[in-house]
Amino acid sequence: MMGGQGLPETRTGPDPASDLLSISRFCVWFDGRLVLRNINLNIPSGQFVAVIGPSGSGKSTLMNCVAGFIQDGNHTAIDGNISINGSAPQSRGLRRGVVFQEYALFPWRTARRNVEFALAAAGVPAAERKGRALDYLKLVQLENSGDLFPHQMSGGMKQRVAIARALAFQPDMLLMDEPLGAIDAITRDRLVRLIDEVWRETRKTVLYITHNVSEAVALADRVIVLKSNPGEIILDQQIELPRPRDALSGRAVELERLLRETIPQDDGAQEDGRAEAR
Amino acid sequence: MRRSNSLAARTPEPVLRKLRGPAAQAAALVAFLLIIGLVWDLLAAWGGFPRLLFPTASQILERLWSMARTGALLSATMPTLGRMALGFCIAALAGVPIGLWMGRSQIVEDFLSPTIRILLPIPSLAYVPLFILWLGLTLQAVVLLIVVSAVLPIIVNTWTGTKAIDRKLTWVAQSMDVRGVVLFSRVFLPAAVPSIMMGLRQGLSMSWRAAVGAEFFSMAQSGLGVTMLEAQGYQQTDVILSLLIIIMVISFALDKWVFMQIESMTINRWGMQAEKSYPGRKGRR
Repeated sequence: MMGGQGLPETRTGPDPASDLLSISRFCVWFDGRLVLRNINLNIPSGQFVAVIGPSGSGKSTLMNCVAGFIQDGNHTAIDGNISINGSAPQSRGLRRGVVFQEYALFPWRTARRNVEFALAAAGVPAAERKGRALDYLKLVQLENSGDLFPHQMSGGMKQRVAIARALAFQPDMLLMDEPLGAIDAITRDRLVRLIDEVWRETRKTVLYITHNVSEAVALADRVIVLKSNPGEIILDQQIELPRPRDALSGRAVELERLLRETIPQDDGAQEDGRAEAR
Repeated sequence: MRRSNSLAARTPEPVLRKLRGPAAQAAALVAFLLIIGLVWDLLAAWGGFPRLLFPTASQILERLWSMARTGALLSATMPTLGRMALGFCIAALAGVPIGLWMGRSQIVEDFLSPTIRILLPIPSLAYVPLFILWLGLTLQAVVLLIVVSAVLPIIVNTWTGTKAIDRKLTWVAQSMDVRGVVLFSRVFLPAAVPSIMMGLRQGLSMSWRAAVGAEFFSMAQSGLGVTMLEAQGYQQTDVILSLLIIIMVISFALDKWVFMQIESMTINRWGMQAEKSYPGRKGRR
């Protein structure tokens, strides 16, 4: 075992020195109801980690906690620890990029200006922003759509702009909450390939929330399976397949079946899950 | 082919649905005005009313034209418009920041919202006696009345709109360490533009009503309302009706013309239309 080397996939145990994200004994309650129980997860730099689970498993909650959007408060209680590069999720100066299922593009800005928002936030001088923004749009194959407003774009295009915007911030870590959840099946396959290409080019650390097993197998180095009510990790599976991946290869199909069998069926917990996703 | 023909024959094309687009709307407006004029003249001719109290449409238009030529129309309209503009600007400058502040700060919201809920349903003309006692028959009293009428819809729309801003837009900015003034000016303010616009639109309409209304309480010495009161004294029904037409036209122009220009430059371009008050324009590509 060559821990500490640049091959995170071969590493097994936690290694605080090189882990970008470290979650330990993490629990969340909403209004006294336990949503996440005893989550322990260490993600080394450069790893693509997918989190899958049924509704009500708290997977979006987990991401929102890592992003620093959810804090201890009136209706929320948090126990345990999340550390990103050694800092708490709420601390300033962390470089995170987020991508939501609903795109969350600024409707008053064109595609290019949405990306420029991130460049400005990253401290890129104004004179360089336009050119850099087009570079990022090119990365997601939208170099010719820079002048479109979000309402003029399809869902797939909007999500690609959102990914370009998140990357333009030059984050250490990319947090994606069901990014393809609202995308039709055909576009989804294209975007999975695109995300894979972009990831191979950038090698960002990614926390990718999804309920789609094929997406997880196609993209992730490692898949975390949560069960619901309360959310708990029940499987931590490495996916050691060469990229670009063939979804129909024997090993991929085998892994997909393993994951599908592990994920518990929705046991009437759907209503709870909806409420919790908010 | 034949089948589709027979289907089309059975379900006639709805005529009303064709009445769209600016040209069709203008044509409909002209037709409507002609019909109104015709009915008016029929009533004036055979209604048995005294001509002095019920002038014909052509008499009214003649009076309107002569008032326009002599400058009487302009000198009646400008003071009212001027007072309205002054009051509206003050209301906008006060109302938008207050609304934004209420939308952003829970403390400010808790503090101000009960007051606003109580004040909102009060007809603004009910303040007239109070303001006259406080400030006399002065410009300040009129402007105060206009500000009070306009500021509440501006505050309420800005406040509720700011509260309804998509939390994920803020989260995106927050994840990029964008906070404070930049977060406010780059995310909150533009995101609130549709509701601010709606508030300003309602506020302008309210300030126009108050500006005209105040004049009927002798709160001013010149203006559309004052001229109408004078005409009432001289039994000049045609002047009153002429000025009513002017008031109607200005109300319409302020709402449709001024705000539609601004909206087409901003929220329509951004696809952010928040309201559904334009039947036939929404949901069509």
